[in-house]
Amino acid sequence: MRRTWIVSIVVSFLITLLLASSARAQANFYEGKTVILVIGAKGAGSLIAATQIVAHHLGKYIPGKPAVIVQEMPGAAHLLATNHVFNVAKPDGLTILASNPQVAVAQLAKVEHVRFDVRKFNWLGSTGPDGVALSVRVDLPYKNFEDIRKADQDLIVGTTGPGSNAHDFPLLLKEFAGAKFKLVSGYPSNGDVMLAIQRKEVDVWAALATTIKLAVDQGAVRAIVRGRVATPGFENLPVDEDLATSALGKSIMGIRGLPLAIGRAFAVPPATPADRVTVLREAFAKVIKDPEFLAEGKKAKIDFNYISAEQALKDFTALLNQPPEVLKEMGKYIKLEG
Amino acid sequence: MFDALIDGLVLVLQWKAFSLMMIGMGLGFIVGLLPGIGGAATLAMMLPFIFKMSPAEAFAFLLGMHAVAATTGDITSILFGVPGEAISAATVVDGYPMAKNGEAGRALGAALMSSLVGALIGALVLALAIPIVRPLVLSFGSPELLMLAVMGIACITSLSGLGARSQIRGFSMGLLGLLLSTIGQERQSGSLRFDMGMMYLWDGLDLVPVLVGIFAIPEIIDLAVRGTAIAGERQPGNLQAGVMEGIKDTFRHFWLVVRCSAIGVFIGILPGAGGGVAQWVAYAHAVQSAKDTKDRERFGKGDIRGVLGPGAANNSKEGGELIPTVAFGVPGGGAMGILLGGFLIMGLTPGPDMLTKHLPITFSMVWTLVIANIITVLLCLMVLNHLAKITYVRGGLIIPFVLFLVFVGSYTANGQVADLVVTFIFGSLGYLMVLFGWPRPPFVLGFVLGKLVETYLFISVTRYGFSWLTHPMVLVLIFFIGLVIAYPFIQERRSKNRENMGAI
Amino acid sequence: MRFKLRSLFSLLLMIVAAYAVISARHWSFKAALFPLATAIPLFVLAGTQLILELFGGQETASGPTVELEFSSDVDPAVARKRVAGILAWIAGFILLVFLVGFPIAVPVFIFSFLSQQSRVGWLLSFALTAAAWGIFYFLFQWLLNVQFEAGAIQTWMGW
Repeated sequence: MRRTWIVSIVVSFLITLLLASSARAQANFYEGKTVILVIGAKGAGSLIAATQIVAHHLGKYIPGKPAVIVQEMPGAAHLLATNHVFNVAKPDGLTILASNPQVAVAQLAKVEHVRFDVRKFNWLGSTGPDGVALSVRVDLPYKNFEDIRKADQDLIVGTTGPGSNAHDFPLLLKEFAGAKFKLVSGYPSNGDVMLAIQRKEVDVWAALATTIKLAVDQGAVRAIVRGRVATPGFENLPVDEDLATSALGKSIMGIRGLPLAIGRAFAVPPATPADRVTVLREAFAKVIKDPEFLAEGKKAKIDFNYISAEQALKDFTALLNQPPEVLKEMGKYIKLEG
Repeated sequence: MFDALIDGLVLVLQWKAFSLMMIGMGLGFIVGLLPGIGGAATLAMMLPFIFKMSPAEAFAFLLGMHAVAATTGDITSILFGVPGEAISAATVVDGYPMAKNGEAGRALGAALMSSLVGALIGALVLALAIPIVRPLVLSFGSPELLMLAVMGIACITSLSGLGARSQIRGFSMGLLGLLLSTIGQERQSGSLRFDMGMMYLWDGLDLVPVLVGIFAIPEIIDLAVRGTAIAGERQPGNLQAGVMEGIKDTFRHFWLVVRCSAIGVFIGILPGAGGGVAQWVAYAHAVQSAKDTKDRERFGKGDIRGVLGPGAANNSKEGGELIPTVAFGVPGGGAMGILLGGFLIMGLTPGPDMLTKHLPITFSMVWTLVIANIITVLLCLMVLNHLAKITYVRGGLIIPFVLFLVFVGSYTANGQVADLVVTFIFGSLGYLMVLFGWPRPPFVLGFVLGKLVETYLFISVTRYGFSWLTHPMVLVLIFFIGLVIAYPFIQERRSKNRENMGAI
Repeated sequence: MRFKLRSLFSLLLMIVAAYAVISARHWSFKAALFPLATAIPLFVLAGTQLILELFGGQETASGPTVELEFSSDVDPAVARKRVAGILAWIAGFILLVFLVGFPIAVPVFIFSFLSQQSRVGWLLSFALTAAAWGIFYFLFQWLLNVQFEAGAIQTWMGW
């Protein structure tokens, strides 16, 4: 009885090994392989859409023309995916992280489960920065930020929870620029906040500039303040950092905004061989100029702008170099996304 | 609007759109059958393919897949007691016992036909609601949504069995579900709850591994213990007659099916409520429709109405869910969130445009739901009998395959081995629950609705203080909630009176 | 006082509820509200059920639990053995997936189960395993492109 057990296990093991060992070494490394873009989010959103568009065209510019697919690995606000690519994924150039630079703030805040260092990743570049904008419901009389400072009652701000753009951007404006805001958080998604705006349940909404622009175009809201990154249509809005009444406020707002300036950055694990990193960086720089790529981006209303790997690394290093007093204050306001 | 209706139909009947719909349907058929792998996960995997398609084609593909999965998910629930889709779990409660009684064909026929009726009603409501959809959804603020979620929880009384002790157990399970839904990051303050130091639990327990574990594993254990085929020692009878019988049952209980479809659509319309709830509320309603307590006792043992209700609701909610998704960009459920991603890629913005400028595309979605479901029913009719024969195959042959599909399916939820452990833990919990008579449906309801209740409760209180309790719609809903809670007791009182009258 | 095995379940619920209450006592108001609002009533209800089970009379069979009921036509001792057996197989499968990853665990598990547990002949086992592996490969790996994590052994060996 015992013998048949062992035999059956060994037999099935051997059968499987035989079947599985069909992949042989290729002359050109990327030929016939699949490149995986790992993203720490699930479902819809401009980050995922942008990554899908990249996946659609990146293979063309990698010698060997591998297939490129997107793998969703949601969990702990992108921390799971970032940890995975940094520590677990094989550093062979086949796994690329489609990161949300917000994770650098988690590293800065020494969040417990961070097991990576953004400065040690091999960055490939970014497809463009994201802007943030704060908007007010169109039927309310507030036309600019001064009006909001002078308002006689608190405006209701709908947010998706601490750590999100919807929450932190207005929060900092309230704490450091004197905005009369009352934050109501917990809305499941930005769509729900937009719905609440239309229901007149909330008055103010902040989100990624692309998202707010769509709402402005629909005539639902009026944009009032923007973050440091200027996006088409919002260039003339005041910047939150300029509205801050103290140097501390300005620093914290700056820190909050830095990941957005880095934007949708891609990286491979630290130990990836240098020649593969170069291949990928070049492919990246080329795909951003690809006309079909840009056309699809335009259709999805995503603005693509190339940010080089060197620039991304510089920004990350700058982000992590903060004086301790600022860090302490920051911890009070910036938490991790839910 | 009528021209848009016709334009929408024409868009779907184009050669390319139609064949893409058929391909999507084929995929949806398989995915629906496979336990655990859900419509949402597969939709996400299919997104990259829609780049080269026009909007009508893309939605024909995606919706065709999703709509069919809702129907075929019931098939696995009935044949194996394993939910093929998270939204098909309620079909297990009466569908699987019917299979064990050798009535698999009948249950399948009923599920199929009620799914079709549900889908058609859902599509009809979607089409008719288009003019009034914006004011309709806008009239439901956070307090109203809270009340609706509470009403979902109130259904627990109908799902718990009569008698004080059964109700205690039912409510305990509901509370346990609510408690476990708090695991993870709390949305308002960002603080982590019950994460036991594991990053895996940061986002809370995922529905798929929990649901699949709690419903599939006990059924598999039972099968292993019995040592027979699912249908026991029976010989296969005339299965074709079985399926036709199920179809006839749908029309015998037509008004129940219509009412449950209405429930499905309505719950689908509510942003965030999701299909996980619709099936249970429909099931609770079917239980409530029992004429007296004796009639009620047949539920859970293989009553056809227990299959008809959820079967209709989980298809009609498809139409309902599209309403907030298309009109507002707020996902009506998990899979709709992915669909929104499709919108983005197509360059479409959900909102008033979809109801005016792009109305034909919206109607093409309606037509996709209708046509895909009709074709599915026709094709399934040919296949169902053969599928039903599986219940006569020896359990020992079925078990390893079902286990393999269950665990792979559960893995695709998050792609981590921890998912399998969760499935195992909840599988064991489910086993103990069935063994000791603690009902599972209330647990599922609590688990699915917990986050909604907490979120909307906090938003309502932060925004309105306590004045929201006096909003007119809220008062109406509170009244209905009272009715829902009290119904089983009213029913019991009425049947006792009837018995006493009879005795005299 | 009647001690039944089933009372352990009620006790388990009380322990879970108590754990929740104890963990939540240091949290902020907002974070603790909902967990406490559910755990405290759960503790009370489970406690009530426990007391009823230990000291109350036989339950008047008042309506079904609207639920599955396990078949009772098998001898309890045999049933218990089979339950333990199937649970062991399932746990073994999960362990196998953890060690060697899905692509290898699936055929190994199916083949072993069929040939050992179900006492199916070698040839049929082999054929069914091949069929399962085919479904697995074409459906999950080729069509749906699901990425399966490498097993612990493969990672350790650096494969």
